[in-house]
Amino acid sequence: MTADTYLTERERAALGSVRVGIAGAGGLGSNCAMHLVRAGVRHLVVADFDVVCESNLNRQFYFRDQLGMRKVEALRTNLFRIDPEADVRAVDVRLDAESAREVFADCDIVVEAFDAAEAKAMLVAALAGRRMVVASGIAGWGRSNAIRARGFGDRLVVVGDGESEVGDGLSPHSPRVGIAAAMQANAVVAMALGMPLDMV
Amino acid sequence: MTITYRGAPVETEARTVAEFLAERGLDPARAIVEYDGEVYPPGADLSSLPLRDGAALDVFRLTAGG
Repeated sequence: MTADTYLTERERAALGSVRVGIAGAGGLGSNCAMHLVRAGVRHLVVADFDVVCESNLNRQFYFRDQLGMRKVEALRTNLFRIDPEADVRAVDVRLDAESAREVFADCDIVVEAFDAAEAKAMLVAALAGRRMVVASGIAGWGRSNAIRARGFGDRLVVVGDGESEVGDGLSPHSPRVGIAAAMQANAVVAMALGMPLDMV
Repeated sequence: MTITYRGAPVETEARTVAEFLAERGLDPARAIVEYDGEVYPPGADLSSLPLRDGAALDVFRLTAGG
C-alpha cells in the first residue's frame, strides 16, 4: 500500500510505476524524496556522495542520531519509515556527466537537487532532452512568491526565483528550501500524471 | 529590435542570444535558455542563434544552494 490513501486507482498506478532519479540528497533532494514517497511514488534512484553533518539539520530530512551516516543510506532508512515497500536505490557517488547518464539511465524523470551551481549546470547539460525538474534560487528568507515553477520547453521544469544565491550574504534555510523541494515534487507528480507543463 | 524577455517586451541592440545574455550580464555557462520554445542547456553555443524581432526568450540562472 502506498503512503497516500487518497489516490485514485489511475493516480496510484501512474505514481507507483514512475521511476524518479534524485541527483543530490541535501536540502532539496531529501525533502523532495520525502514528498514523493508520501505522494505515492515507489521507485527512486537517489545519488549523493556526502555524509549527514550538523549544518544539514537546519533543513534536510535527517535527524541528530543520523550524524555521520552516508546521506543516501540515512535517506533510504527515513523513506522506508513512510513506505516500507518503496524501492529506493541508494547510489553513494559524486556524480559527473558520464556517471549521471549511467545512474539515471532507467529513470523517467530526474530531479536536479545539487548545491553547487556548476554541478547543476553539469547535470542539466549531461541530461539535456530528458524530463527533468531543476531548482535554483532558494537562499535566504521571505519572498515566498518569488519562488515559482514553470515549464521550459516540453520536458523541463525550473523551480525557484532563479536569482538568490547561497554565499551572497544569504544562507540556505528550511522554509525556502522546503518550498522549492515541495514544488519540485509537485512538478514530478504532475508530469507523472500526464499534466501539461503549463500546469506544473 | 523588440523581443519578449521573461514575458515582457524588451528593446535590445543584441544580434544573437549570446550577445543578449552578455548585455544583461548573464553567464551562459550557468543558465538555461528557452528561445522560441527550444531549450538550450548551460554551455550551449548561443552565438549561432540570431535574435529575431518579436522572438520570445527566457533565461533561468543556476545559482548555488540546495
